[in-house]
Amino acid sequence: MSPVDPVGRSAGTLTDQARGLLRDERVATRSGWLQAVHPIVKLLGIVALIAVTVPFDTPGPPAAMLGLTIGLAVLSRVPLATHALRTGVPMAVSLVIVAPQAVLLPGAPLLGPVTVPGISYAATFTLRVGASVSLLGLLLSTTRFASLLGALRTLRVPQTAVALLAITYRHLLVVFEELSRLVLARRSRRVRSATLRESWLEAGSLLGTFLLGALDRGERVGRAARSRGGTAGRGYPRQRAVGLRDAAFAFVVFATVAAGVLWP
Amino acid sequence: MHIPDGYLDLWIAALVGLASIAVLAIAVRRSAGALDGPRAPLLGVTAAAIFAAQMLNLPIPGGTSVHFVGGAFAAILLGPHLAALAMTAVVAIQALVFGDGGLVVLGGNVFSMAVVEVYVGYAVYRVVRPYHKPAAVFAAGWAGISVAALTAAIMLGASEAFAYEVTTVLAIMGGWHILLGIAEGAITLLAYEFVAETRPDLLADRSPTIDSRRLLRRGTAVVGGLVVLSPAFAWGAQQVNYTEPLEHAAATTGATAHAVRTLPSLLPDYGIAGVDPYVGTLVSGLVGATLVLVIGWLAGRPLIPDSEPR
Repeated sequence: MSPVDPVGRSAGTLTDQARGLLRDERVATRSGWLQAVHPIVKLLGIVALIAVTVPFDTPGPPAAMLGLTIGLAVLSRVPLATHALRTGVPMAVSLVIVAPQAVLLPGAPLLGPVTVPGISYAATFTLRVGASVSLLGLLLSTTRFASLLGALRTLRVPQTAVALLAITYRHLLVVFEELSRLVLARRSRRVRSATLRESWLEAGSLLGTFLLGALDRGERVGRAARSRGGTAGRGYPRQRAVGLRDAAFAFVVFATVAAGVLWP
Repeated sequence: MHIPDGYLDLWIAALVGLASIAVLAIAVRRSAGALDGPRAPLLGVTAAAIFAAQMLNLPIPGGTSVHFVGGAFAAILLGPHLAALAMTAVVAIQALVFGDGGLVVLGGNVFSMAVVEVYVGYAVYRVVRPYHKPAAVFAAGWAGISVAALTAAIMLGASEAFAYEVTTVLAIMGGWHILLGIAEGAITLLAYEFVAETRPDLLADRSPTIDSRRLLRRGTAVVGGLVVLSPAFAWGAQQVNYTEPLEHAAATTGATAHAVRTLPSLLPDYGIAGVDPYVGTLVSGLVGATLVLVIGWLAGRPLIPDSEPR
C-alpha cells in the first residue's frame, strides 16, 4: 500500500467492522443480567435513561449514570476493555470539541483563563455524552439484532421498516466480504504506486463494480425470496414473558429516572 | 456527521424525529408496491452495499482521505423515495449495530443524512441535468452532503446542550463539509460514469438533454446578472450590518486580534484601493466569477473520460 493509496486501507476498515459485528453477536449470547432482560424492557429502559441523562447541566448526575452503566456492564459480563474503548473515544472527541468553552464561558476564574462555569460545562457535556454512549453500547452488546427487530415489531414499528433493517443487516457480512475482496484484488494487481488521479479513477470503477454487483445480488435475493413465498408479512417469533430479571431492570430504570427528575 | 446522544436538546431531537417519520411515511406511500415485492431485498442489499461503500477511503492531497457517503448517488440510481428508505436503513444500522450516532437523536441523524441529503441531492440533479449531466451528478453529490451538514449544524447550534452559537457551528461544520462535498461530488460522478457505461438501462429514464448554446446563454445571463447585482448585495449587507459567519465566529472567539496576513490579496475585502467601493465590488465580482469558471472548467475536464453522449 503506497502512501497516496489509502484505498487499500479500506480492506482493514471493512475487516474491523465485520469483526465488531461478530464480536457483539457473541457477547449478546453470553449469560449475563442484561442479556436475560426482555428486549422491549431493555430498549425502552435504555431510551428512558438516555433521555433523563441529556438535560442535566451539572457534572454529578451524568457521572453517576456513567458509574451505573459500568456496574451494569460488569453484571452483564460485557468485556470492559472493549466497552471502555467504545465509550472513551466519543468522550475524548467531545472533550476536544467543547474544551474551548472552558475559556470562553464567562465566570469566576479557576486557573489562568479557565473559568469555573467553563470547566463545569466541559465536564458535564463530556460525561453526558459518555453516559449516553455507554448506555447505547450496553444495549448493543447485550442484545442480538434479531431480538431488537422483534422488539421493534412488537412496538408496532411497520413491517416494511423492520424487513428492510433485517435484510440490510443479514447482508452486511456478505457485502463487507465482497468489497474487501475487490480492494485486495486491486492491490494485488498493482505493481507500482498509484498517482492521485489513477487512484481516484480506479476507485470510481471499483465502487461502480461493487454497487452493480450488489444490485445484481439484490435482484437474485429478491427472486429467491419470491420463490420461497416473499419477505412481506414474515414476522419475528414472539418473545418470552416478562420475568424477575426484567422487573429488577425496570426497577433500576424507574428509580434512576425518578432520582433524575427529582434532582434539584 | 453522526450526532451522538447528549449533543442535542430533547425537544429538537423529538421535533426532527417527527419530521423524519413524516417524510419517510410519504416516501413509503410514494413507493407503494415497490417494497412488498421483489424490490424489498434489492433495497436492503443496496443499503448494505452503500454502508460497505462508506468504508472505502479515497486519498485527498495533504496525506488524508475521505469516504463516500452515497445519499445523492442512491437517489439518482433508485429514485429519491427508495433512496431515502435505503439511507434510513444505513443510518439506523450504524446506530443500532455499531453505535455510530445516538439512539435518542436517531431521528435527527436520519433527517440530515437520509432525508435532506437524498432529497436535496436529487433536486439539484433534476434541476441541473437538462443542461449538463456530469455537472448535475457532481452538484448533486456536493450539494447533498453540504446541505445535510448545514442541517446538522443548525440542529446543534440551536441546542442549548451544545454551547456554541449557530453561526459558529455553521461556519466550522458547514465550511468544512462544503470542501469535503467536492470529494463526494467527484466520487458520485466517477461511480455514475461507471454505471452509465456498464448498465445504462439502470439510468435509461433519466436522460433529458439541452443544447450547449442554450446552456451557455442561460449560464452567462445568470452569472452576469449576479455580478452586475453584486454592488446592490454589498449595499444591502451594509444596511443590515451583515457579517460573514466565519468572521463573526472569529470576532466572538477573539481570534481576529491574533489574525496575521500571510499573503497580499489581489482584491482585499472585494475592493480596489482608491476606487469607489461599489465599483470595486463589481470588478471583484467579474474577476472572481471568471476565475471560478476557469478553475471549474479545468478541474472538471479530467473527471469526464470522454465526451461521447451515452
